[in-house]
Amino acid sequence: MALLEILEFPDPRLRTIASPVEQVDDAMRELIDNMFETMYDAPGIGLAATQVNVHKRLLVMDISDEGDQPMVFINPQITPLTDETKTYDEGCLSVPGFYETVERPDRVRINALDRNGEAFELEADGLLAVCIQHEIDHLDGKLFVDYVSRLKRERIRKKLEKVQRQRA
Amino acid sequence: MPDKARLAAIKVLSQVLPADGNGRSLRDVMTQERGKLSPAERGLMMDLGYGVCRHYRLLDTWLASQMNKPLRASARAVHLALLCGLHELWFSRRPAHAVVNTWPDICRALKAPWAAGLVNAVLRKASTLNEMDVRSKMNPAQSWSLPDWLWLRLQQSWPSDAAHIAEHLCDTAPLTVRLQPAHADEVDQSLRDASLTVTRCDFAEYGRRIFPAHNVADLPGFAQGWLSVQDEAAQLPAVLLDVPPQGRVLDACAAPGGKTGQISELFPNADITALDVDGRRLKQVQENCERLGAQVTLLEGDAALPAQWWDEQPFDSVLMDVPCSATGIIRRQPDLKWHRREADIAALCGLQSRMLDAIWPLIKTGGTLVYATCSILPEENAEQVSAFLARQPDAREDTPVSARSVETSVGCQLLPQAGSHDGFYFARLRKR
Repeated sequence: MALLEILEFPDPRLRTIASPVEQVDDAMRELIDNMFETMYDAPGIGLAATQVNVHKRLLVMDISDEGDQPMVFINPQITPLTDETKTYDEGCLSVPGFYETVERPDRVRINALDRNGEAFELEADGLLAVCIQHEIDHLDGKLFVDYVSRLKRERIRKKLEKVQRQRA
Repeated sequence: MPDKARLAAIKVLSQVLPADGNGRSLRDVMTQERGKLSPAERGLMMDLGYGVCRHYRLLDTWLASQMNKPLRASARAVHLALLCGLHELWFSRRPAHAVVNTWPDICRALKAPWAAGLVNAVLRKASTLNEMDVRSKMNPAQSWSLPDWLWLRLQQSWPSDAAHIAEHLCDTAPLTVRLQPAHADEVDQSLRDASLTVTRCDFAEYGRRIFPAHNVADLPGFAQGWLSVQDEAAQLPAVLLDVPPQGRVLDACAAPGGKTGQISELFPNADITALDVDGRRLKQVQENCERLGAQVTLLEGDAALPAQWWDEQPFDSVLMDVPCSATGIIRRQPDLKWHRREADIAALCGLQSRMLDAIWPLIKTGGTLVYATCSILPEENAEQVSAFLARQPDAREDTPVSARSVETSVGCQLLPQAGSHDGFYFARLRKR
């Protein structure tokens, strides 16, 4: 297993639109294991393949307090089940240190493949619904900062660029 | 035959960067030459032509430091060959020994066999250095290849960001396209099926960047008008137009028509007039609109002189993408750095304010004007708009808060970003 490098905003590669996974094979499962290790190490509760510069429709999550409920979603698709929206203070491993309020549908249905390539369906609300929508946005090249004003987003960009320059 | 490409690059550069300084536009000369070359040759010619314009001052400063006396003006071709060779050594991946061996032969082909030894010696010396060694001995204007006046203005305008901006102006810009909203998913899919990497733009909803850069006419959906080349920043102002159903819209400086097409996609029921002072370039607008299937009235006329073309019917909304210094798009047109003169800026500012004053009375009460430039100089942008607001009591700034930027208090100033959008400015004004 290996830790993967997490891309940080405003890295343009985070804007890549991911392609569907065609085959769930051992190489894919190795990537999934590395993504879990990277996510738990960060630590975070969700990680999309886009964030580790793999542009395939794949994400991993674990929203449990103990970090013992890993979930894999391959080629995930969501359908909102209600017009009601909820706001949540979201953060992101690719936008470290910033939290912003984002409004999203409160209840969604998820269709995806698991790590064995088997299809499954799930209804989600609360944190699970927020997290899956946030991660699927990554696969479409979107970030949670896209939901805040441009002024705010530019301030975040400048601060992160400064940190990244100091690190380089 | 790479030599054909290198000779073509010298031919292009001798027209774009002649010894007397009065050069033609790189894009125009390239367009004329590219048809004569194979795709591979074309790639090398463009790489050298754009690269030497991009890094001209850096290359030329180092070259001057190596010469006891400058080359004669009549030896311009040799001078340009040296700059091309230096560019290949420091900015391409071609092996140094191949570059050092190639250019003396080019001198012979240029009928300047006397220069072969000189070129060999200079390139051999340069091949022991890299870009960083060379930059470290130069001031910022030399290193980032800007004319002194522009570097000075950048420092005055953006004290804490100037070095950053100068550096990014030396980058190459990504290929960015705008998708037609109705076909966006389909195009996203077919681009990926063509094994291209598609990335979403940061601010423009239907903006996509495509890697590797590609001849756009070959992209799936181009012929049908489903995608158009347009930088992300340039996609933002038209979205701010406020057009009622069947409203009347004027695109006041329309050529080459990228934004005209976008207006028709955003407001399909609007009555759109595309105005441009240059009849020849108005043809480009027409071709663009035909490809997109856009219904637009074309009008030849000067936005600063509406008496010559206006039919007395007021407009609901006007887009004014005015002539400007184009300092925000230097990445895409690096020859601008050597063609633009400092005196042009005041003249352009004068023209911009005359256009604003001339077009404003054509707008209905409650109507909007979106002012836009591809400049990063405040005198053409926020200062221009502030001065207009000060002299037009019935105008107020109306740029949505969500579209504003941190760089300025009036409108939105975008500065060029690595791998992302160009420098650009826009502001929406509303008539009381």
